Amino acid sequence: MNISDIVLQYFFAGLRVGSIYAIVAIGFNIIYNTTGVINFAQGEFLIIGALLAISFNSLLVFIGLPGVPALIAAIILAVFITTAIGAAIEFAFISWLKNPSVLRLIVITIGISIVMREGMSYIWGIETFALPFFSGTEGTSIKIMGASISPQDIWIIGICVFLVLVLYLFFKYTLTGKAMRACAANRTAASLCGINVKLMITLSFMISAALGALAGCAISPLAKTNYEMGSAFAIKGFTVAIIGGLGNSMAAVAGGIMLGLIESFSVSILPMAYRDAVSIGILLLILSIKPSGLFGKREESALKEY
Amino acid sequence: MPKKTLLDIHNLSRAFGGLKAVNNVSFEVSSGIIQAIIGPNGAGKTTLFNLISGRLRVDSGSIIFKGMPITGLKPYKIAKSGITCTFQTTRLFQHMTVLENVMAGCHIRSRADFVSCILGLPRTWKEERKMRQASQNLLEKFDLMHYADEYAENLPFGKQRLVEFARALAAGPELLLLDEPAAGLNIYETEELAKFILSIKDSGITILIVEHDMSLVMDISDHIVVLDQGRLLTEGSPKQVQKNPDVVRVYLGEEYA
Amino acid sequence: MDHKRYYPIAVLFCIVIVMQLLLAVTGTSFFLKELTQAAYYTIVVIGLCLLIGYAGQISLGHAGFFAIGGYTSAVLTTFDFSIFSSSPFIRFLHTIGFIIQREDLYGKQLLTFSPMVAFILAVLFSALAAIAIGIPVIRLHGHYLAMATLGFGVIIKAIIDATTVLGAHDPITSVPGFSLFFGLEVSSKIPLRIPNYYISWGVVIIALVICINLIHSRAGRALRSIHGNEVAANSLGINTTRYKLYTFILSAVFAAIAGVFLTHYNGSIGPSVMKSVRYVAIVAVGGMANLWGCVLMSVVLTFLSLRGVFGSFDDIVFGAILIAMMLFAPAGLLNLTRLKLWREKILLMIRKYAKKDSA
Repeated sequence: MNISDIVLQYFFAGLRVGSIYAIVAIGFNIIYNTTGVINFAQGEFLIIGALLAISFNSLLVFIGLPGVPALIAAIILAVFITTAIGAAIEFAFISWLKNPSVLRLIVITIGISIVMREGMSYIWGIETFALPFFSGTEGTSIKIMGASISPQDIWIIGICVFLVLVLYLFFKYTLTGKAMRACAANRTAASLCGINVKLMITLSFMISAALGALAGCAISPLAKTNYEMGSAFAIKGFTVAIIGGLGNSMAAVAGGIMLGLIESFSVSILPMAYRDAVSIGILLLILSIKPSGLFGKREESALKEY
Repeated sequence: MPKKTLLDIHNLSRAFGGLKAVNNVSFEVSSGIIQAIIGPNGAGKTTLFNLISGRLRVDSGSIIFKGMPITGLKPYKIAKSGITCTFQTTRLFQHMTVLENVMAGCHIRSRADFVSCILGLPRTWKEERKMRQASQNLLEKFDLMHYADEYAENLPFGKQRLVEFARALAAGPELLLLDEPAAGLNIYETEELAKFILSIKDSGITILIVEHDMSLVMDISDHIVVLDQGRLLTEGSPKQVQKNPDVVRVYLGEEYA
Repeated sequence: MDHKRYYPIAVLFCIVIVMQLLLAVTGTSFFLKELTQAAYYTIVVIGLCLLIGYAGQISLGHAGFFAIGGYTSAVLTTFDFSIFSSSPFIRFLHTIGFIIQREDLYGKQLLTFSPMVAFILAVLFSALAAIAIGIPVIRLHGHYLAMATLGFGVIIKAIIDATTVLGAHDPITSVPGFSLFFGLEVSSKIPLRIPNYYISWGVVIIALVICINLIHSRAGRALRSIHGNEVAANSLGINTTRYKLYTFILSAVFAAIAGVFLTHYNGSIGPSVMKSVRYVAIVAVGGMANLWGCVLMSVVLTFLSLRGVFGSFDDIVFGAILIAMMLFAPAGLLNLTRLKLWREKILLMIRKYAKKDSA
């Protein structure tokens, strides 16, 4: 392989993880926009979605369903249940708080992420699992301009593009989407317009949970799934959200691609084991210099209140 | 005898996006007087205050205090140079007692640094005693001694205002900025307030006050500056300002001019 | 001179002594080990209580400073520097006694740093890290600060896991004892168990004296002002950024000292010390600004955890505690206002009872 092939290889690897980080970031942004809460448990949605899909898939295959429909059904079920979990979390822990302080919310969602993580380790154990490849197998590779990528990479990037598109249309053209944007802009005014703010908040948790679950399923065949992986996704997703400016989901896509590429190319300079440290280093760098992100304005970095 | 200029505002401007909240404003504040800044809503009074106290950054122009430029300095540095302020909505330290709030105001006047405090050096104990005494004196002056050990959040609103006064004075400022101190006070409380402000002036402190209560302003001010839509409209003594047709127009509309 | 403020420390001192005697009398002196370890963890909690409760700054990565302190001293006292013995710098350090020759478990001759020097270097290094991280981060608020400190904690863990010198995923073992003055040594040797118990609580008491000095001083009031309303604090001439930074560094130094001492006491340190959230949970339960509440809760919870009372549910217990506290008692269980309310309720009941009696 010559240099340009290697660069291309890193490029696609970067796109792959970058799209997942972008989806996590969008999950953060949706909840943050409607509630001002940063849901530290966002990363856990990915893992629980993937684990549920893995279990359902094994079950369905066991009772005789052929591979492809089993996988599809498993993923749908997993997303469904994760969405329900997201709604339950909002209902049980967030909805009834009166004027909570930022510290309180942060700590609650951290506690939730810990409980979820430990819960997953009890139910599924500490082994690493993986969802079957959506098409092809572990060994299949497609050659694009000299780089070998897995068909799963195409699935991941494709699913992420699809989700971004769907969300864009949802928020721009549907009534519910606009209602959520209204809540994001000014909750009091939105409720005075007759928008059911409480429902919108619950909805935002549900959408973020669903996004997380889908992303988790998509990346599972390649990155494998283990109960501990949630916090890494959460921190990197948050980094991407910050790069784009908290709340700005379109910028998050750009940010995701950027972080993915940086992380991927960093392997050529630093040992792979430090890859996570690179992303966090970028987070700290951005927070130190421009917390409002590359695309945000200074005044907007003032945080929303719940 | 010409009075000394304490504060010199020169061509001050600040815009928010396209809106010029403060537009090329210049005026002076002489030492030892009570000067009021008035103007209809949106005139830029609070923005002006925030520019002076350092909470907002200046776009252009300069602020000179005691002959030295303070434009662009951080708020705590400006406080150290001799300007303290009270706020439109009281910003007391709710979970601290009234006495502790006022002692916090004494912070500038003491020099016990972090390390000495940790080590509990005797000089820090002495400074504590001095600050406590000074704060108690202030509380007595404001007739708040019986509230001394009460948490600030438990006090009635009018008393909280007074505590904020006492706290601001504890810092020993030369210039005191009062942002709508009469807001939410009834007639009697406003009269008390007027007496307090005049007694503060008597102790040699210069006062710059933003206020909507015209009777208070006309009663106690030595000099008035009128702002409208970010610009300086006019300035002068209370009598001059009252008679000025532009001022009447700006407040009440064309027909009353 | 208001000496009354030190009375609770005297009370703690007596409790510590009574506890040891009690355990000796009931033949349960083996509990001393967990009580000693709990004491060191409490030092971290005390520093964090100062930062979160008094200065109002959240830090979700404080275990990182504990790790920096512990790992630095562990590496400096276990790494065999004799491979560098040709370097003049190393030989110079050997001559002035910073590097010593000692024997390890298997009789092999090693050149390592003396524990005392390693301790000083570890604390210095931790303070430098606190400054490096603190300066950019302390200006942040709310979620940004939380994420930045969380990120710091994760970076430290990632670095530990990835570096072989630090043992990667395995703990560094055979950390030697740490000789203090008067022939006292911090190590896990059984005959030294009682002196070590008193050493650990001695350090706790020193930490508490520092905290109480700070709280009752002008600087402490400045911190509480910052927590109360940062804008107002600034307007009173308080350089809020600097005070927040100082507190951050102080709490980091506390954590580092605890890390060094505990590493020498346990004789080892591993990646499992990175449990920042646990410290926050304890501060939350103890009452954010209630120093004594935090001490009490830290000792109780850490002791129970170390004795294995929570079994494999250890992490989830602290996570659940965190959630429960934040949902139902955000100011902590032993929050002073709540305690005052309870005291008044009890006094009221007593009075009613007394009236009934006399009637």
